[in-house]
Amino acid sequence: MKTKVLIITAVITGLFFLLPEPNESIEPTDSNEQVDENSQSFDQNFIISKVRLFDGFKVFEETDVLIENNKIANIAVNIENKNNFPVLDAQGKTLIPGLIDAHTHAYGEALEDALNFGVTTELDMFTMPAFAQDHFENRDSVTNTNHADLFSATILATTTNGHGTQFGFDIPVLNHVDEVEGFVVERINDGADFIKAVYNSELADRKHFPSVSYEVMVELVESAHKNNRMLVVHVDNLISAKEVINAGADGIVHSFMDSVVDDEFIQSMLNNNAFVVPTLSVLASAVQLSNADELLQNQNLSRFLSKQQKQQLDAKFPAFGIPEQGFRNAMESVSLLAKAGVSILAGSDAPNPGTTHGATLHGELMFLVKAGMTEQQVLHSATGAVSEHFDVGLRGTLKTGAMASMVLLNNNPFDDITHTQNIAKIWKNGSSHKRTTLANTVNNNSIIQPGLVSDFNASLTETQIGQGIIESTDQMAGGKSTVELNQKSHENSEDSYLHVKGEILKGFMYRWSGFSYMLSQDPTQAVNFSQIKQLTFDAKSIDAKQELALLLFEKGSFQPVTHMIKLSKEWQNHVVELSQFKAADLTEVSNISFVISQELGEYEFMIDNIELK
Amino acid sequence: MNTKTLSEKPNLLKIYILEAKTEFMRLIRTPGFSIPTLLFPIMFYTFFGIVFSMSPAMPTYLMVTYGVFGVIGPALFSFGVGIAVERGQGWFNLKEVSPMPASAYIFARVALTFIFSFVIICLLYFMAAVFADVQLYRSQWLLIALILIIGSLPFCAIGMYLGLSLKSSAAPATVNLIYLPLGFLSGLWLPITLFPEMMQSLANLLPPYHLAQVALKVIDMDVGDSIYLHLGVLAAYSIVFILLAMKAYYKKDKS
Amino acid sequence: MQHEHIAQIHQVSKKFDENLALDQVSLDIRSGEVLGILGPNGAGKTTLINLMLGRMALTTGEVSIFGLKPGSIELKRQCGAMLQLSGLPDMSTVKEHIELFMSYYANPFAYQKIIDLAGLAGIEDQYSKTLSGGQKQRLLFALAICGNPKLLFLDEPSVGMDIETRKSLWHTINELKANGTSVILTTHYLEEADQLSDRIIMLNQGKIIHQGTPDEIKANINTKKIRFISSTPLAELMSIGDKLKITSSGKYYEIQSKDSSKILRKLFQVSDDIQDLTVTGAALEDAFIQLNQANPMKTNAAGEEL
Repeated sequence: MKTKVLIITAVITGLFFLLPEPNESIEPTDSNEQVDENSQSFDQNFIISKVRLFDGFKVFEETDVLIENNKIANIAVNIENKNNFPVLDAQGKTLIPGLIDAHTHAYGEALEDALNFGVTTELDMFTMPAFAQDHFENRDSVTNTNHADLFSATILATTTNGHGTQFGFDIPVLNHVDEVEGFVVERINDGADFIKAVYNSELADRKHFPSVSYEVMVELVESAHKNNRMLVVHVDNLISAKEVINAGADGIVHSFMDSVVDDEFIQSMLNNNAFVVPTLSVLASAVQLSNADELLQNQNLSRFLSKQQKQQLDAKFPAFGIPEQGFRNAMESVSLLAKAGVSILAGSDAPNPGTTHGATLHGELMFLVKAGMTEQQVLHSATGAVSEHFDVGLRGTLKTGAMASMVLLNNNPFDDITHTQNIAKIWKNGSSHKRTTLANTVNNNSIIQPGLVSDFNASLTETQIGQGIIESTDQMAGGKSTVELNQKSHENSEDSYLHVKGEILKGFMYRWSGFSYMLSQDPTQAVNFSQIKQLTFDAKSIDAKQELALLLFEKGSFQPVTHMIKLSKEWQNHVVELSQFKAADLTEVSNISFVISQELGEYEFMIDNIELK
Repeated sequence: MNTKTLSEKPNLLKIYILEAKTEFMRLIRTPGFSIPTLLFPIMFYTFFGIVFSMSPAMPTYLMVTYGVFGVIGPALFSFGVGIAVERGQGWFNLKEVSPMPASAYIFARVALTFIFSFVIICLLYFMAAVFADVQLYRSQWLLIALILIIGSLPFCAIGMYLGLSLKSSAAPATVNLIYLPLGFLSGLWLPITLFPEMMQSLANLLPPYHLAQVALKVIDMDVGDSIYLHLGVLAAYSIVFILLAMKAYYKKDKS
Repeated sequence: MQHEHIAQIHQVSKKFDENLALDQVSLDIRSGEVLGILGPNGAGKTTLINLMLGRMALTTGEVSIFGLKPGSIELKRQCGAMLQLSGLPDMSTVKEHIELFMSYYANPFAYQKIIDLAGLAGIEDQYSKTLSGGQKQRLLFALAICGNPKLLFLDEPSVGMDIETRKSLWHTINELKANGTSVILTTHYLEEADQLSDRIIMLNQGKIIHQGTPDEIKANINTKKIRFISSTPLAELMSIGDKLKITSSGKYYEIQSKDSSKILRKLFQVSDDIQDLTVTGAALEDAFIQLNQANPMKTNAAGEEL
């Protein structure tokens, strides 16, 4: 009996050591903390001792920081611990203010993702007011500890079919000076902290989108200022930038690639105390020079990225045909502006392709250093500099009285800016933030079961699974392609099918026309296709060589995964193995579009009996 | 009267061990009871956690929740059904009037619950590690197992109360009627976040939910409430049911 | 026989809701005696045993056994009990059951002695599931005696046993008694009570209606039932004796009497057309009814001292 028990115990112990462990050799930071710091909690009231402190402006070596009631109460050498608060010995580590990302588009999980990388404040440059309002409410509450604070422009000011209208949201547009005042008041009623406009000069060489007129632009500046709001502008060339700064705009929220800044521009920036948010990360991504891969491969960042964030970083812009030199122009401009003393603010423009909330700001800091700024200037650009331009209170600073939103770095970022990525601890409003890792995100999209989507007999647009079928063309992005969906009957039969007829026209760089099979109400939601193995449908086309593109869109992403199918002139059953959408996360499907893309001219194809198997 | 014999006591440890051993032998000779209890959570886990897993985190998450489901089964059944049946037979009465220390009876059943829980956890770990590629740190594997095993105690208390108050003929059905919905509503079968808001708040009232949250904290997959809340609820349930069980037990006039 | 009192039951009453199950019962139990408790169902036998085992709380009165309170573990270690069960855990062997119960006691009998006493040799490795009714009874008996108890409670011990086994059980009980063990026995077999008991108490409706040695009791309940058909009117039959209990049931008359031969003699004097005459021993139940009704005063007398 005893030997049996002994043997069983030995076998179980042996098996226990065979249980798989994660590949990383180091344990997650938070586990280390629990061990290292004897599970003392550093929340609300505590002291960080002997730390290198960057208060958003200057560096202090070996200083103590007293946090009392979630706020910075004292910064001094050798603070007396009168109340016997827990003391975190941070010798060798660096404490910096919670970072501010000065250019993002916040929706979905953006603010949670941001905080997870030490970004405690985001300045949003265009989101739907409902999202912003949700986050304005408790922005100044000390209990607001699980996501970054949001400051937002809410809806941007643009014109019909202008930049900003391509995302499929129905937003108000400006076509006349008279509409400006009303627009600004509406934004302020929405709760906007500042006004953002999109502008492109009449004189600019490259024009993708229509733009508001110069008169409207001037009126926007005046109206915003009259209402005590800043006006910031999206521009993508120097000439437009010059015009808006001369019109009195407070800052521009992109650098530009068409040319390097000249003395005249620098001078007017200085005269107007205007700032620039270069968003080098997104510009780099546009010319395929993104450092997203570097971020993805860095263990200090990647293990805290959610799956969606990884996809965002992995996503690519379509080829715009902009030369790489354009990006070098932008870098050169940043260098010149910084040297001249123009305020540079760090911003990521997440979640554009190749960027994501939180992590990309660290990548942006790397670009800014590469552009020639010092590490301290760069850190200032993501902290104190923002607080000097935007009305964000003491956010971005670690001065007495500021909320203790801060980041403790294991190393010295002034030696190497990538050390901002090696985070020991994050606090939001004085509460330590437990960083989420990929392992603990649970997909809660509803699971789609196999079945018939539509045989197009009962209805053209309604589907038995999902949210129906809608027209889809590049008009959403400012293109001109057209489409017409009709219900038609097979010959000698009452059985009907979907008839798709349209024309691909020049307009937007990426042209498409066809229909979308919607699986969710809006792009921020998705369904789970894990139970689906195949998509099947009958199809034929007028042209024997017609190629049909199946675009699978994931939640929150504007970059579909594409699968091409050749149509024939006879009805033919097509079976698409979903496994062929290799890059897609099938648990996050938002819609599947059936489109003809790129090739100019008229087309006609027919679809019937769409089924999920 | 010999006062010397009066003061002598039997060997308590020996009683504990024999009692547990007898109970254990009895159970493994009754595969009809033990095998379903062992395999139920494994089957469910295989189904929802491995075969129809919806996301990469699911196998890990569900390994923990099915672990909770697994350990509350033996606790409810060993105590709830076990005691009720022995009461129905009159065997419980005989034990009650015999000089068996009540603690030995409870100890034996708790030990049995622990052994069963341990086996279930081993099987779950095996499935998770081999078929679902679940990877955790050694400390996490160990800590989760410990939390689950110790965490079966409140359910032993609940089972004890049921065993002492249910009719023996009604006990198996009643315990099943409590066990299965309790598991489902506490989000042990599918992640709680998939449930409508109302059901999520309902889960807050149920002890398995709180045990799951404690265990999920080890792998940072909990909803983020304070551990003291979860432990508090579990402690409260234990105390209430121990009191109820004592009341049922000391309701002597049960002729 | 020693006359040391090991247990005192003093003025004990037990109420279930408004139902008085035991009414002012007083009783002493002596060391080394076998006390038989007789009574019809619902007489209060089980209640009395349960009170002594500590399974029920008293309404009023006092019970003290070996100077200890019923239900205390110290007392339980001095006692063994055999209750009526409908089943016992199926999948344990006879040996496992006994060894487990032995462990509860400080000075149990040797295992082999228990097997011999209870007559379980040869079936020690069988699961309880496979035992016959009589074998189960013997196992339960073994569990009751395994601790070498000073006081043994036996509730209907010979139910389901064949005559031979019953005899050997009686033999064992006598052996234990000789060893100094006191036994409290409930039974409805008059013969069993007669064979084993030094003293018998008879319970009815929560009261001790009679107590004494088996011989005394037998004299009291040695009632016969005389049944016959006659045309003689009831009034004339009544003249046979004072307090005579005559009932008419259909065309039959029934007379219950302890002295049947005297009654029969008188009966034939009074009536000359006796037909279909039968004389039978009274059932225990009848005896109780009769004792209870005929001797209401004796209850009190018996309750206080005998």
